[in-house]
Amino acid sequence: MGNALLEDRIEAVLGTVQKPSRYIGGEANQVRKPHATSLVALCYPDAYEIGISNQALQILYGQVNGREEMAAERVYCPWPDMADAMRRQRLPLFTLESWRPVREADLLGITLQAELTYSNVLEVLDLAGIPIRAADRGEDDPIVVAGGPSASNPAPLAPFFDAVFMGESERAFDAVLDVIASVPGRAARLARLAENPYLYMPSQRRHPVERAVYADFAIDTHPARVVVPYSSAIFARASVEVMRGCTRGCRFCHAGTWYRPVRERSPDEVVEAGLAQLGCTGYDELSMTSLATSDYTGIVPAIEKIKSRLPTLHLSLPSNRVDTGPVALTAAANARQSSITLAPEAATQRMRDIICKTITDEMIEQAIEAAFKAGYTSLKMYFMIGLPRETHAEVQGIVDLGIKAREIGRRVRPGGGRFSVHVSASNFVPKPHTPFQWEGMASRKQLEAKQAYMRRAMPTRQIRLSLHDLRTSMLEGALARGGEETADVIEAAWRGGARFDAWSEMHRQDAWDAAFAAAGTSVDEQATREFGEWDELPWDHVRSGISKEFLLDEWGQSRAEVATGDCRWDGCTDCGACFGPVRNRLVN
Amino acid sequence: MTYRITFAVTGRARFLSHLETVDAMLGALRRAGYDIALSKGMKPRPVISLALPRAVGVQAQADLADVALHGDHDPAEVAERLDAQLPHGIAVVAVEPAEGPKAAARVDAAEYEVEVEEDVDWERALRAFAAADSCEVVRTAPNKPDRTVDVTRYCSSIEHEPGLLRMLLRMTDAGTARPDEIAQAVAGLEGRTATIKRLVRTRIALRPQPVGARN
Ligand code: SF4
Repeated sequence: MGNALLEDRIEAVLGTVQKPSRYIGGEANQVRKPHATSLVALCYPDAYEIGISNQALQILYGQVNGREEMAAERVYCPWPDMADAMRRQRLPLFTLESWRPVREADLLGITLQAELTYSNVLEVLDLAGIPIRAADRGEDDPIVVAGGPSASNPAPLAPFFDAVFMGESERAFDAVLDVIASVPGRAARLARLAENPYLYMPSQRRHPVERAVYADFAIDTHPARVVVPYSSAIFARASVEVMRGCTRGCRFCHAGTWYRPVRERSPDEVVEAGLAQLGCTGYDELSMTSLATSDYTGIVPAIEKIKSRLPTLHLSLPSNRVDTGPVALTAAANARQSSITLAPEAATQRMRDIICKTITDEMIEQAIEAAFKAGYTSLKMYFMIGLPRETHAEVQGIVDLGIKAREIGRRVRPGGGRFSVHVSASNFVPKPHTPFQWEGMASRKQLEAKQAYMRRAMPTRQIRLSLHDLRTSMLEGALARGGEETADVIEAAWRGGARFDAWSEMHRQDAWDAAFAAAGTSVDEQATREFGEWDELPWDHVRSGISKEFLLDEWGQSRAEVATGDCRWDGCTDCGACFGPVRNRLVN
Repeated sequence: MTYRITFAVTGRARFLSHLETVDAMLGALRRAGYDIALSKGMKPRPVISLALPRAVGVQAQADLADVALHGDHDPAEVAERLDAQLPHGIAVVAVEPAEGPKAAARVDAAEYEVEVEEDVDWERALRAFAAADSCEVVRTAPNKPDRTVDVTRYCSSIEHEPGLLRMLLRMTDAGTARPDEIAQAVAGLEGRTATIKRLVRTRIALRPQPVGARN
């Protein structure tokens, strides 16, 4: 079928769907390379507006397009109205840039940023006309590769991928692209890819695979010409990644192990990269991103240097650390922001020792006070419930801290000005490669009771409470630590209509219940499953670099209710992440 | 200084919504290095207005946007630099300094070309349309009662050539009609439904500026 004909057919469908701009491409900074000899389709398996600002994919987009012979083109998961129309009209899933069928790509890379996009992975493959199981693919099908943080447990989606890339793409993914560029034919390419230490080949079950770490964390891979999304509803600001990795050691945090060790960029690099992206995008706000930007040791000089170059620029620091210094810095950096977020995660000292969040009640109160004194009118605080060994005291503590924040606000808000406190409590989900990987999730009943209690006990005047949808949390829990048997469940749920599971209004509990039941289990049973110390875990063959001894130790410390120090300042605790050139690298 | 930008929206870009078009224009101006003036008040917003919103899917050959920029600039240079930064499918036709009330307050009429199939006897239908005292269409909207509207009073002129209806639609205080509505109303007089392949807004006509008008 000629491409012109396909274009006409796509246009006819676009006139009938919601938000057709999700599918048209053509945004500023998109790259088109009609003369490229290989096509790499890059997919974020969620709606355009969710996927477009993903930093990792923007990096990969630049990495692929930086090669003469290759074109990277984007694809997102079509919204159900579009998917229905495409199936009715027999339209294949197409890339945004050139509206080429995804099936014509040499490689289809799918980023797994969240478990709740897994059903969409199957939707994308099916709409593309690619057999969903790797075993059924033929010579003409693209090589389908997963990446991203959720790929660190490749088991639940293993049969659907030809390969799963572990870790950071910069430099290391070049070897994968080299194979695509130099070796013809799917079978030959797969044979060559099997030699790559960072690729897990599900067809060769459970072989060891390493995590790629971008040791240099050099600035030249930081993208300047990022695609500017349509629609201002989207995270529309430039961003510069100031630091990668975090060694605070929060025991629930997947990113806190998966991206070790800490690598910082120099303030000068940060400033140049930030200015470059601002220039290419026309944004008037710059976000300094990382897992915990207030820990970045170059933060003060970086802010000063940027402000001296662009005095009116709005800077945002996604500051989650609970300290007064960062609160003041955040306030100074961006005068138009009226709300600030703090993430104590747990409200009692006991629970913070269990999860290794090394902050004190006093620090939290001081940070709240500093935030209101700095003029913020809205204070948001993040907590988790359902953490291991949680008692009523911890849940009560969240309520008390909400009330305390209101008291502080009333006391210090200049002139008794208006303000609000927003308390958000999410449901703890144990993740692979963390010290809590052996723990089960709290039961649905327990979580329901905790949520109900908080709704009753939390005053509503000047305090807003948001609690997370239990259906989506439990499903996330069931998928996150799933084994290979989970793949059949995901396929059955998708066939039963599951899509966009993270979107409450789309969530199909019935489809998932039926799929788990057919496998003789349930969402709840999988989510609450505990592993024993000697059990083989589905992701044991994935060598994150963090030793199992370290994770076990940390798990033990958590039961002893003892926090562990941060190796940046308190000495190495031998987690195993550092070797050779890979080590903590701070600028100050 | 306020500039009036005449721009075309073609190809896939016609699927952008009105707001997305505004955002695309603002983003391109910023990337081109212009400093967009902000409105006064609690929530300052960039001073930009499009003369007429464009329905999703409708192509435009000469839509109008008024935007206030800090500083004095050569309009030809604004045109060139802006054009280089706009998303694929949006192109600058002309830029000129704008004075007086903004274009949005002065829209008199809009001209459309509606590409249609020749499965209606358009000539006969148009004669019937010209002869009719009124021609009513029913407007449906979610959560609102249906409304019947006489569209003849909004249609200043309409003519047919093979594959095409060309029409001039008046913008009045009481409202206007959509080009597809007119095409369907006309086809309806023949007992048919029009097959519309493409809608193009070719021109937006402004009322002459009142004498002595000031910024
Ligand atoms: S090996 Fe030591 S220094 Fe390196 S990240 Fe682990 S604990 Fe920190």
